[in-house]
Parts: sequence; C-alpha cells; structure tokens
Amino acid sequence: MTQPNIIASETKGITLHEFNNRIKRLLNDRSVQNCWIIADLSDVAIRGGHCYLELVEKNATGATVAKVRGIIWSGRVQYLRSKFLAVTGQDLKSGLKVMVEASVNYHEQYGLSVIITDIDPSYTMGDMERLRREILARLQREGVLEMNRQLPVPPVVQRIAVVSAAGAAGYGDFINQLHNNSYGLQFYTCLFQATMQGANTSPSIIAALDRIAAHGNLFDCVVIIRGGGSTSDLNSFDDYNLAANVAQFPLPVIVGIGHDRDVTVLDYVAAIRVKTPTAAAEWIITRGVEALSRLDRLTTSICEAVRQYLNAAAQQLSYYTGNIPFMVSSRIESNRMQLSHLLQMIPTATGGRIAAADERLKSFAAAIGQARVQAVARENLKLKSLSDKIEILSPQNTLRRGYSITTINGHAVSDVGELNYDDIVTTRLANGTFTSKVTETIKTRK
Amino acid sequence: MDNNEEKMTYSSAINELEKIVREMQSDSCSIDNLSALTTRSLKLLKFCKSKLQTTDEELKKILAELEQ
Repeated sequence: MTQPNIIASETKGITLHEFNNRIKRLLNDRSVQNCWIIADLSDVAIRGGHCYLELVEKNATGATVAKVRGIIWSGRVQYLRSKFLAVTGQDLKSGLKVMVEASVNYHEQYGLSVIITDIDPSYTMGDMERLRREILARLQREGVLEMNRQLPVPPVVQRIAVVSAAGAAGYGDFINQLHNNSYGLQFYTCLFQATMQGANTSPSIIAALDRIAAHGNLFDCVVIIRGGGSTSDLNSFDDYNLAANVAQFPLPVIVGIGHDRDVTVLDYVAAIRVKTPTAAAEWIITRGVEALSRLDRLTTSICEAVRQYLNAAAQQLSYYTGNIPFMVSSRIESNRMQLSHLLQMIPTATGGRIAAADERLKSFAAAIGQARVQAVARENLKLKSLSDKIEILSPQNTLRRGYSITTINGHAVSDVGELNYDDIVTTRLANGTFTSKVTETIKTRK
Repeated sequence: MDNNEEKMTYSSAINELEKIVREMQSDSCSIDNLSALTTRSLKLLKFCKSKLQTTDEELKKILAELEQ
C-alpha cells in the first residue's frame, strides 16, 4: 500500500545498502521471529566459534523444496550442542532431522539467514525412534528380526571375525585385551576392514560380512566394533539393509559400536550387544573363563565321584574285614551251644526210649507167656484129637471090628488081581491068623 | 576312538564329558565301569583344556593369510 508512494517519490534511485535496509526493516515482523522450524541439518561447520549450517526440507522423493542458511552464534553454540548431546547422545551434524527456534536475519552485506537460538532434542529423538521403529517393524514383517539373536552361541567363542576400521583405537583396544588376557585363553582374530562412519558405513559393513560368510566355517562369531571417538554417527547403524544382513547372518554377531545412550537397529538385531570394543573383548574373555571354570567343576565332580566310589568300596571291605572274625567266632559259639544242648538232650531222650522199650519188652514177655500157655493147650487138644483119630484108625481096632488083613508072601493084598488060583494066603484077625488056599477070584466092579 | 578325536569339537567333548559325569554320579554306575569312565573323562578334560589354552598354529596361519 505504501510501496507505490516510495517508488514514486524516489525516482532518482536509492543505494543498495538503503534497499537492503528496507528489506531488513520489512523482515522485522513477529511472524518470522522466534519460530520453531522443522528441517534437516546440512553442511554443519564451526568457524570462529560460530556454527554455520543449512536448514533443508526435502519432499518424499528426496528433492530439496526449501533451504535457508542458519547460524548459531558462538555464545549459544556450546549450550545448544550440550543440550542436544545430553538427550540424543550425538552432536549437531548433517543428516539429522531437528526442530530449532529460529528468527530471520537479514544483513545488508551477507544477505538472508536465520539465527538459531534454541533446539528441541526430543524432536530429533522422536524422529530417530520413528525411523528405527519402521525398520524394526519391516524386519519383523519379513520374519528375520530375531534370527541372529536366536542363533545358539557356542559354549566358547575363540575364532572371531572382526569388522572394524583398521587403524581405529577401538580395534586396537579389542585386539590387545583379547590376546593379552590373563587366563591363558587362546583367541584367533581376523580383521575384515570396513568404513565405520558416514554414508558408506552400511554398504561397507555388508561387504565385509559377505567376505566373512564365504569363510563361515572358520569362525565362531562376528564382532562389529567401532570406537575411540566420543561423538558418534549412529544414524548409519539405523539402516534397513545393514540390519537385514546382520539379522540373517549365519554366525552370532556381537556389536560394540561405542555408545551407551541409545539402541540402534543394529544393536537390536545382533545376537549380543555391548557398549564398546573393550566390552566386546571382556564378554568373549568372560565366556572363555566360564568354560574354564566349567572344566574345573567337571574335574572336581569326577574326582568327587571317584573318591566316593573308592570310599564306599573301602568301607565295605573294612566292614567285612572287621566282621568276618566276629562272624566266624559267633558261628562257632552258636554251633557249640547247639551241640551242648543236644548233649543235654541225649540222656533224657535215651532214658525215655529205654523205658519205653522196656515196657514194650515186658508186654511182649507177658504176651509171649500167655501165648505159650494157649499154644500148649491148643497143641494138647490137637494131640488128643490126633491120638483119638489114630486110635480109631489103628489096624488092631479095625480088626476088632471084624475087618481082616490078607497077606501073601509077607505083604498085604489090596488087589484081587494079585491072587492066582492055589495061592496060599494068610489072613490076620484081631486075635489070631489062619491060612487058606485061593480057589476062585472074582473082581468086583467099582 | 582316536579317529573320532580328530573331528572332536569342544562342544561335542564338553557334552560327552557332562554325560559321563552324570553317569559317574548316578547309582547305576558300577565300580567296574568307573575306571573306564574316569579314563575317558580325563582324556576329554585334557582335550577341552588344550582347545582353550593351546595355540592352533595352523588356524592362526590360515586367518593371517585371510586377513591380507
């Protein structure tokens, strides 16, 4: 509204200085003073105590859509850097997404810039966290997030593939500590060099991992270390490709990339996470020491088992040694007792038996006596009946009843066939004999 | 047994060792087995200890070449 008037009244022209002064006056507006601006940092540099940088905004395709020079005056630099470091664990540097308080500044000689007076580190933290979460979620979706962490770590880790920058102080510390351990543990290390900071970090580490994978059977684990410097460019480790490679690596990966504030995606996917290269060496040595003490414990157990067996055997032997004489004497004693008992029993037993036998004998004698009398009586009866029979059967008796005996030539004739005509026979009767001559024989039928 | 020892790893040795010790500690172990088990376990212990504390020059050489 006022501009046409200015132009109209100064047709002769004004100095550039005056013109720039007018710009400066125009910019003295509250809408561009003390604004909180979200932007990426770029070309950060400290000169003469002041911090010069570029604030950049890029679109989704990465093309720059806005850009302005920024300055932190020396009086503010130290404060803002400390504040930022305390929360994010890192220095102000290119590539970080930040939220800063800035006011436009126009200098007649140097042109337009913004003066940065404050910074909100939690915004940067939130942004890094968001990035990390996105990468982790993607790894999870792809099913590889936990793969390295679930690999079994060998009971003892001795053959170690080291991914590091060759000259790094952290690498030197790691190697010294490992090889000069005071337990006599042997370690075998092989360095696979990689760039450990800047934009090339991820592809460089991935290339080293590929070289290790080609000799996978030679190693127990991989150690990725970096350290020495206090400031760190952790963004390089919040990288999807690097994380995916480490997560799927066939050997357990130990990460010690020298920070303790934050967990990068790399820390999350690696089997073992420690803070520093020195801590990585300590972890490996501790595992070796544990293996040694496990061997010691086994040695003790073996000795103890053997000792117990021998003790038990010795105890058993000594039991027998001590008890056999006692057992023998007690056996003898018990036999002696038994014998003496038997001896005592003999008189009683024999006495009883003799008396019984005597009784039996007596009863036998009585029986025999009685039997003898009966037998005699029986025999007498028998004899009497026999003599009666004999009496009845005697020839004399028969003769008296009228029978006679005829003899010829001295023998009795019982068959009429023995007699012939004119034979002289003698016939005996009960009271005498007579002779007669055979005049006829007649055989009677039976 | 000696042929197997060439291929024996620390892990397999320590596993066998643990098994033997359990057997030695069990009631079923006879004193006749004890001697054989003790001999074997001492052999395994020696192997494990040497794996941990004795330098494998051959491996060292291979890795040195790989690093170049």
